[in-house]
Amino acid sequence: MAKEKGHPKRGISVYSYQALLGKTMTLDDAFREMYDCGATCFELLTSYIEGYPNPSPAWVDHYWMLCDKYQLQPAELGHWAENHLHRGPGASDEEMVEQLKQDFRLANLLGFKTLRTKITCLNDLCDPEPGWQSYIEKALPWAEKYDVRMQNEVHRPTTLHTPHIREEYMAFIDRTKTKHFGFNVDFGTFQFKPADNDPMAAMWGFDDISKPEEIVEFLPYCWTCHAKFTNMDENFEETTIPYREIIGLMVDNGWSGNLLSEYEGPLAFGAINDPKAAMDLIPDQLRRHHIMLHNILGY
Amino acid sequence: MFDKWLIRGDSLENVERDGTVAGFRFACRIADYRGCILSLHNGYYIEVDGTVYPREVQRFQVNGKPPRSFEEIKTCISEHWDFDDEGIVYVEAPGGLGPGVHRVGFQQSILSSYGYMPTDEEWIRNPPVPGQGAGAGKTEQICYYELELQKETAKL
Repeated sequence: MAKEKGHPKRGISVYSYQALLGKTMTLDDAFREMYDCGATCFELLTSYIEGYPNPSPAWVDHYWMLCDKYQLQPAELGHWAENHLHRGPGASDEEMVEQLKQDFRLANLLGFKTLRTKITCLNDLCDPEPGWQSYIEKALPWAEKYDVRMQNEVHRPTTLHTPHIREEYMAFIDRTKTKHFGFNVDFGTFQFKPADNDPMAAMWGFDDISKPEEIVEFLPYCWTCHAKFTNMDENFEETTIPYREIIGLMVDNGWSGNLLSEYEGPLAFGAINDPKAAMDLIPDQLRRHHIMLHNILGY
Repeated sequence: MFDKWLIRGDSLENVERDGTVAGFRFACRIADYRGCILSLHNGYYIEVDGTVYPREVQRFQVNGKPPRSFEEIKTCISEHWDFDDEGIVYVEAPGGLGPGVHRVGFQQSILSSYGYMPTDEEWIRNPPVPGQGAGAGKTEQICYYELELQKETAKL
């Protein structure tokens, strides 16, 4: 019997506006933009929370007012498990659990059910620093209590077949049977060519990338994915990532998670001397991206 | 990212302590979209009209606390510098700056990275000197500003 089709939610990561936030755009402006694109959910990073890790009640009230006014549902809170804050030995498990607990509590306060948890890694391929299982496992009961799911981001140049994905993260899920740890598959892992004039593109090459069909087996462990994009053309198509194929597979396999647009194209990185262009073009790229998602999903 | 916007244009002013001008200060933002845990903030490359002012004569004010040296800042492991918040950089320079427009070179050093790379281990013992490129965080190059010294002098 055919599987029931999924209904991914269209959302936006506020990270997309990072080059503009605090300069030409406030958080209020970002919410209005996301609403205007037709997004229904969003990702915030802990760094955009005024007074992190202890925002004032006034800030929290204002935040909920924005969610209500612009009809946006909190989807994912991007945070970092920082274990080298001392100029000396790494943090102990207990210190790490305290830090994670603090972010879980904050995510819960702000309505986020999923987290993009950045575990410290040792190289560009993001092989995790040994010992991560120990503090993440100790944090699981707290993730349960605060009703949040940690997600490791699979981010270019990491692929879905990079050994640590199966040997470490999947093995951890298998052993603990936890429902509070999984993957945020960043679509950059499927990127097959650079966007024009992208200074970051040459960094890792395109020889070893994830194939769209690889995502299927990970879908049960994904609640939120970064719909990474680098270039939307004038016909509302992404030119560097096989979007239709990826989303087709997700929908056909019953995935109904949060699909968050994350713009990371040449303008995000190369606009140092041209803020005016960025002010026009970054929001424009996001609008085009949501037209594409709307065309693919039908809503 | 948008390095040219990191220093607020009307913030350069002399600083007076005990009745004498002891240096100058300016307001700046963090370039890294993550913000940072304060202990990872490692100081600045600061050059004014060709004179370089090393980390040892710099202090940093943020989160409503008095200016602190970077030796003290590196112990602040539970304090955050928000992405959208200004910090004030103080520079010890007896006599301060003369009136008019100054050419200020600026690069931030933030040691947070996505991982624990071999350089991080080295930086524990031997943090990079700001302005050399290493540990520059998201200020990829030394950026130059033409800043006019404000008429008011700040009193400490």
